Amino acid sequence: MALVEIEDLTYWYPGADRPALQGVDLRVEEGEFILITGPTGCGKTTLMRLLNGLIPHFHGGRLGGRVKVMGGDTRGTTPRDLAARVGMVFQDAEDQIVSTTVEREIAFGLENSGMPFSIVAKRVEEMLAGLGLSRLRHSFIPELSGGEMQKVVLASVMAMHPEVLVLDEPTSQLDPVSAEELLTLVRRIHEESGTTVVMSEHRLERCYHYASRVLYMEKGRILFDGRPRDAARWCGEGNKAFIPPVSRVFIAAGWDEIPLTVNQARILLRDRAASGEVSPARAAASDGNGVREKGEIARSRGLWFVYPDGPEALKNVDMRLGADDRMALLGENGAGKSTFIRCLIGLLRPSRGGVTLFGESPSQERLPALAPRLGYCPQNPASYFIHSSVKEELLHTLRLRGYGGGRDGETVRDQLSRLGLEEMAERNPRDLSTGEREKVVVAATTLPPAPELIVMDEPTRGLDYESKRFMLEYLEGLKEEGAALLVVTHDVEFAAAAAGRAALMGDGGVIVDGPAGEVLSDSLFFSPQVNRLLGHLNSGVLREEEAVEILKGMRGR
Amino acid sequence: MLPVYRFKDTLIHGLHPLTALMLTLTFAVSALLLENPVYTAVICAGVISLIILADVWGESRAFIRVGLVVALFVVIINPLVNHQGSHVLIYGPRLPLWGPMDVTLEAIAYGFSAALKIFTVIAAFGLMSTILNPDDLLGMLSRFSFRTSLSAALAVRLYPSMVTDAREIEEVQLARGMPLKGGGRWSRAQSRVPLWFSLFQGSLDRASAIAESMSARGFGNGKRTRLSRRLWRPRDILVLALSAVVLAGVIAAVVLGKGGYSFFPTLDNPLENLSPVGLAVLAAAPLLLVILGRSWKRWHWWRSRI
Amino acid sequence: MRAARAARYILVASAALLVYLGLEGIPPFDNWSLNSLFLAMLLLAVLFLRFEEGDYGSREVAVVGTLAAVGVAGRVLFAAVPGVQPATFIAILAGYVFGAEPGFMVGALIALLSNIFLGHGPWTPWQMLAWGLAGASGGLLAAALRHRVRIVPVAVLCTAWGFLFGWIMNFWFWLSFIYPLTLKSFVATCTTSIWFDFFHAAGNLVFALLLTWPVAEMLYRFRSRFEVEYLPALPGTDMEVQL
Repeated sequence: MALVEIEDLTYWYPGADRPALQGVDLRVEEGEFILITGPTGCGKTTLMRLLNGLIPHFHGGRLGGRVKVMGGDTRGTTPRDLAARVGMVFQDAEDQIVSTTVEREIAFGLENSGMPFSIVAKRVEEMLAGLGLSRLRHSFIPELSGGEMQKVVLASVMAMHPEVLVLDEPTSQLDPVSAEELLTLVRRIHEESGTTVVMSEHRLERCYHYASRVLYMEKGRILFDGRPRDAARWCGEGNKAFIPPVSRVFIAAGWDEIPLTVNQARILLRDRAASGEVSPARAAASDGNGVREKGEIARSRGLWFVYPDGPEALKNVDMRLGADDRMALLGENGAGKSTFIRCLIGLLRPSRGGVTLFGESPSQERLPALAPRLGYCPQNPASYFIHSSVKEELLHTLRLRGYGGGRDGETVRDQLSRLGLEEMAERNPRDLSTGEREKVVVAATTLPPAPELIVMDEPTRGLDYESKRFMLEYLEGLKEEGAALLVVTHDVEFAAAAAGRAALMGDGGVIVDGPAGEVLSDSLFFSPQVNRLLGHLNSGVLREEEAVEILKGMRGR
Repeated sequence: MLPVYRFKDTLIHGLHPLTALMLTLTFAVSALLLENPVYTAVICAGVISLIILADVWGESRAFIRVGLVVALFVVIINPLVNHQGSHVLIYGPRLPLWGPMDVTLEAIAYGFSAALKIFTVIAAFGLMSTILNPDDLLGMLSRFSFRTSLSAALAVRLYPSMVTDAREIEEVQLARGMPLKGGGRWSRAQSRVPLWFSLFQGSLDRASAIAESMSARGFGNGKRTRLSRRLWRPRDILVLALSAVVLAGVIAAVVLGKGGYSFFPTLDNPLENLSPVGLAVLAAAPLLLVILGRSWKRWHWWRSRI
Repeated sequence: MRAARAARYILVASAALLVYLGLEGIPPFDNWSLNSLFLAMLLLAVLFLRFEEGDYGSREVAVVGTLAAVGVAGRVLFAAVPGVQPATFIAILAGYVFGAEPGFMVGALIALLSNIFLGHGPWTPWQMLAWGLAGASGGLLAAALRHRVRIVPVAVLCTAWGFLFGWIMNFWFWLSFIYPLTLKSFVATCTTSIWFDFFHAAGNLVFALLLTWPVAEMLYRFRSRFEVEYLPALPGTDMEVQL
């Protein structure tokens, strides 16, 4: 008997005008690892909510067809009964934790199901040790990092020993290092305990090859259900972005064999080279549109910053930003990246040293005057929204920039259609998906006339490949309008594609600063996948298009 | 702003939360029950010595300050509303509907005595706040009332995120060009209103998500258990016994009429109705704790036994 | 839940006994500074038990926790401004939208938790009681108005609570630290705090006039998510939805 059987399922949320799921059939067998992919709004989350009875018992709505978990129809059982069998981890840990300390949180689900004290204590201990949380046992939850919090959530769910572990984009709010750690944990749980895993995730490079099955969903339907390699080929042929970058490159280059990881790809390349099919040739070095000197737009000189209750966050930072620079700022958490840009745009007052922005020294009081020349996209798009519709947000930004007038409505409409948001104009921005929200913020901050400097803090957090691709194309377009770009990011793929110049920060200072081709190549962790794949052939290769060209060349020989 | 509690390596911080609660409440209750200012002064000295012993003088400064302000208020208001007593110091005017505004020595004395009392009680609560982890306090509450304590725990955990969110929203809107700085106080407040709404809406959205996550982990009506692993040590029994002796003594004194003191119409001699045994117990209890605490810090043998 | 109801009766009875013994002047119960503390705690326990007994699920607990956190933030934020106190307004509106018991919880928790930051004292139980009752009164008003949002009654209630809150706290203060316990001395105590209470009431009035509509709308929208709406199952489904 299958663990989960979904038959011909159609589902409407209350008040929705079209179904969230249509005619979905799915069987999940014991021990499987199922990866669900697809664009935002495709019904992934809805499908997952069905598995532990949150639909219909928490959300209500209208259900057709049948969902059986371990033989029982979910409409007949409550989430309370299902909680111990199907564990659920959601996107944002902040939105899931109810207790004040780690130990209490792990015990929460067990206590709810009325387990005897001795079992609760044992399970909590087991989770603390197994997930490496022992050190944090008594920690106050708000003082944990995002990665640690999500681990606590996972521990709290796994403590109930569920047969099925359901994860809905569990790493979308995490930086890459914590994300990788979490995904490794999930894999370990799957391997060591045989727990069945159903997961949706946009960091495909970490889990695609590992999945036993990959589903592709669109508009509430499952369009593909099969082995990862077949799924990659199917998506590649349909030009869907939801496959690991390395596979995408090989598909675009027209190779018949598709690797799923860098390692597989390198073996493939080596095998072909050995069998004489391809010879490792050097493609033309990319021009690496590096640092070109033009007018100065922002500059920091001997910049120090010390938080009132904390350590020195910035130590003597010198940085010059030209008017046509496109710069990526990389580095670990706590390296000082966010502090640096907040000093640079005047949100924080430097402790020592000086900052100039557009030739003057910025401050919180001066910001309204600087705003028309500066576009700042915050890390968390929700903090940008103070109105109840997308259109009003954009209009407000226009008014703040002092472009009031009869043409405002038109400008906003044009801008929305430029970003493919026409249908969202009247929606509440808070109800949109992460990717759509990010787009709205970008639309607002880059309203024409484009600002002279665009500062983005982690613009790709929580974005799937398709949204990222769109964002890159849009930023490329803004280059034409002469906007300088400063991106703080953990995402090396994005940095490599968007920036011509890159700097690596660490311990409050700038470690390297130079053309992206030099900074981002030849590193195990700070290089994009394609560089790790083809770097030995051409050290400057950073972008997918360049890699595709090289691979095409190799195939042709 | 952070809760005033911070763990420190002292005997007092190492107490079971229930013991710590009983200890501080004993001082507060004794101060409230005993009328004789000599007793109150002894209790006050005891509380302050425990504050010093627990090394929380810095943290309880705020309480001491509030205590002094309230005490000052009590000192001022009592002679104004209370005109009993035989020693009139100032003959005030006669107010219509109110009566004479005479200030008497007895009323002033009562004011000072009440002020000392309230100062002692506030200091005792200050001691409690600085040695008792609020989390443990909520934990004790959850024995009786689970939903209450869960709501409270949730609020405690959400508050810091809310403060962070508020700062973030302000920064983002500043960078967007909203004139939040400068201008008058009223216009500054006005320009912030949409930010509050944003914060409020964000918090409600978070509440929805948390509710879903709670349901997914089986929260609902029905039997539930509770994990708690607070250890009792010999020191807890010692301190609890000490508190019980003091409390029993105080109640006995009150019932036997030994704790009273009358201010009106003339002041009693504060030393007259004093019980030397009671005074000794009141003074000895904190003294014993101080000796215990100091020696505990020094001798490993002692430290490992209790 | 019979045990909880029994516990509630016992608590009410002991509160009554406490008052009786106090009025009779039997030591040690003739000490009103102590009685007032116990009295407030007993009443709080009674009202907490009501929330415990009620049919409240994860959404109510989540929203009570969240609103309490908002109130704490408001109280700590305005701590420096004399009298002005968004916490009262938040408790009343919470009661208005979610009912008397959750309203009471929000008010009581605001007092309990904000004092973690601002300082606990013998005033804590009375503050919890006063704010809790403010929240509960919001629920009663909403029941009387059948949940139609009317600014004027809400504003009147908020303004009244500006003074009521002060008087409740004065009552405690008067019981504990003033001698003799006469109406005259109570009035005098209230006069000393009149400016403070006036600012509190004025602040509440401003909050109520400016914020009632938008805040109530947001809260009602949140509440509408409480009502799980099961639509009829689609044809071809062999099992009816069990509720």
